[in-house]
Amino acid sequence: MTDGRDETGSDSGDRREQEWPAWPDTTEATEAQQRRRTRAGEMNPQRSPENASQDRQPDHYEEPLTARTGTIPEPRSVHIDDDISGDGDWVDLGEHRPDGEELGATDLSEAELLEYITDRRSLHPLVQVHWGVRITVGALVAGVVSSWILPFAGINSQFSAAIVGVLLLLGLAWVLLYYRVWVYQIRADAIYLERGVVTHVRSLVPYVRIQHVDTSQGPIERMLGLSTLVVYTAGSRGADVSIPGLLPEEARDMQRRVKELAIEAEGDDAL
Amino acid sequence: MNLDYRSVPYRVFENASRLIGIIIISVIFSAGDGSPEGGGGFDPLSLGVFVLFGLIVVGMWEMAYVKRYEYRITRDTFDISSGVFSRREREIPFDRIQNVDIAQNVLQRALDIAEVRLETAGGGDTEATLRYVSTTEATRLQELISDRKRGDRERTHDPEAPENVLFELENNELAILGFTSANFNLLGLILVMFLVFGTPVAAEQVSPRLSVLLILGPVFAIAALVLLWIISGIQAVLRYYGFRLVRHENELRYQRGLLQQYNGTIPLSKIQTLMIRENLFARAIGYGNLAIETAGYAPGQGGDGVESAIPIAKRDRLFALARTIEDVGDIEFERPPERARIRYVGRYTIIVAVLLGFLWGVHTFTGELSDWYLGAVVWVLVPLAAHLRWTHLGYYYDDDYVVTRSGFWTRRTTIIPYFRVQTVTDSQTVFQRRRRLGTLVVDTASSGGFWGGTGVAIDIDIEDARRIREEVNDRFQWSVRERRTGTDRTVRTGE
Repeated sequence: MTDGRDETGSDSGDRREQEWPAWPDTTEATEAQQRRRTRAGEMNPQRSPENASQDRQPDHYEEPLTARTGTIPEPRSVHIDDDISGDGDWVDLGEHRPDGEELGATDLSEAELLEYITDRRSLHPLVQVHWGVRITVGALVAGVVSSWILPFAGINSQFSAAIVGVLLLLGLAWVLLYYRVWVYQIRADAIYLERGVVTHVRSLVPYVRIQHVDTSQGPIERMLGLSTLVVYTAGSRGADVSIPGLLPEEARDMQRRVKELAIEAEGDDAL
Repeated sequence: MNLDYRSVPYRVFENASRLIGIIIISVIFSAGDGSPEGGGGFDPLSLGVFVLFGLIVVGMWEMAYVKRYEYRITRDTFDISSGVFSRREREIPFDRIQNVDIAQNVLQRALDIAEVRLETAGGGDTEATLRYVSTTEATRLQELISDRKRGDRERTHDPEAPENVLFELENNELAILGFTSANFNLLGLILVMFLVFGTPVAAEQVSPRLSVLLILGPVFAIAALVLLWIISGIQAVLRYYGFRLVRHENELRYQRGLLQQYNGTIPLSKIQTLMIRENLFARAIGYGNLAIETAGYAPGQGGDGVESAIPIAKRDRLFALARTIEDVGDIEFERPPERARIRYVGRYTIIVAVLLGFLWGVHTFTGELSDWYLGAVVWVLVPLAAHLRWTHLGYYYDDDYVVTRSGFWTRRTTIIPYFRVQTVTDSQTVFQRRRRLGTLVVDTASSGGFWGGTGVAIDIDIEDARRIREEVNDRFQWSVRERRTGTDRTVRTGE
């Protein structure tokens, strides 16, 4: 499997060198190329530089080739071993291709596909504020409830302040960790998600199985200018997957990508 | 077409029994507080008039309901328009129908009417329920829908087409079924009963005179256990009496039940997963059951989890039957690494420690249970329990299927074709991270209750989990492409 992949990778790699001009050649860049470029995390115009620097990168993350040498990154130069570890640091096309002709269950050409996929992205840092607000509200409610209950147990109700403090501390630590862990990636054949502090979860949601895609904005999110993407499948457990902490335009862009990929990845829904 | 008019009396009866309940309650209450009307409760005449009036109203309502309930069969859809005052029109495309079930209880059989239920994958409820049509009409609808689903406009097949009997429940198997279908859902409750009544502390707390409960507690618990066993056995026998599973062209058909008769279809192309369940007793004598899960409601009685397609059979036979539906090869389970077993030792030790802590707490607060530390003896069972847990875990995957297995009390083996995969997830709790273990969850759309529908490989090596996650996804994508490019594997055997 690994061999076949590497082989096809290097084959078409040469081909693409010709198809895609060198990176700095912006004068003739097509729209597609520009969009492609925005996906290279560092150069994403939708994120301010300081946001980008806060983006979580895996320890062994290397800057995409683009940023350093100005050449188009070669996605499939990724070794399958990296993907196995789940820490693949660059776009995984998500498919081993014995015949080397098609990617996933889609009719899109490779160039089109490259427009849709993303590298591993983390959420917008403001989402931490959103979670933080929720945690704080929860802690305060717990505080009020405990200040009411504690006297019945013969404990001074001032202890509820301590409860609030501990909950806040734990909650905020959780928020920071949770944010660091969250990663999503639009792959060629599936959405890939990593999340969870206590239980670390990595899931794949194949496009073929997507029933519909929503974007939603709660009141706090509206204030912060964030949006959530919700992807529904027909599965029985954890059927709905949501990606919080997206900028509204980013969420719409994601919705569009996922929608297109889901449409292209036609196949019956196996229901 | 309309519902059968014989369903009017039955529907009136159904409602009347409810109405009578209300009347009885109201009579009891009105007699209690010296009712203002009639002076001192109802006199029989006004009660009779009241009941008669109620019956007439209900009768008229049911008449109207039956008259206003119409269904139509069009080229591609099954249309229903219903409702007396607020009307509802519903169209169900034939190719979306998952199961067609017919249910008939004793009374309905006497009236020769039956309930027909159409299940689709959407929503959490039965899509359409025809209450009630004549038995012949029910059978006709079932046949017709299965024809239409295959796109046949007319009947192309011989109604007497060869029915390939896959399974027929024999009497001795029925006996084994009754014996082995102990329902352990209430086991926890019984254990609590045992603990509460059985502890001297509890007995003394209530009343010293009740210390007789010290002896009675365990007796109660055992009696409850036996009673529960007998009841669930009888239930199982009634439910699966005369079970028969046949293969009819592209679908499976089953019938079962003594008092309440069921008869349903499962289209082969809609089957999501297969699950073989062997509980402790059944496993001891080499038996188990097979559940066939679709995305509709579980066939038969919705609500109480997964219904088994084959209630009881020898293990080999179950796997053979499973293979006629999903052609999975020889399953060679791979167990989780041995460090998982050590994890269970740790986990159960913690449980024992908590139990000890509880006993100690009881001791310090009440002064009873001076020998509380003897509870530690339970720990002797921990290595055994950990080993049992570990031996029953396993996973297997090949070119077409993922198979997972787990559970000691009831061992569940889930067979999932790649094509039915919805999402693939691996997860790692803090405890698993310490031992580099992880859990792989392969989700499907089947609606088989809490345990059903998902293949869960517990505590496998995390590297394996991630590798298999990618592999399942890749193979899944291949299977979708395979379908699309025409190399259809839907219909496996025969055809």
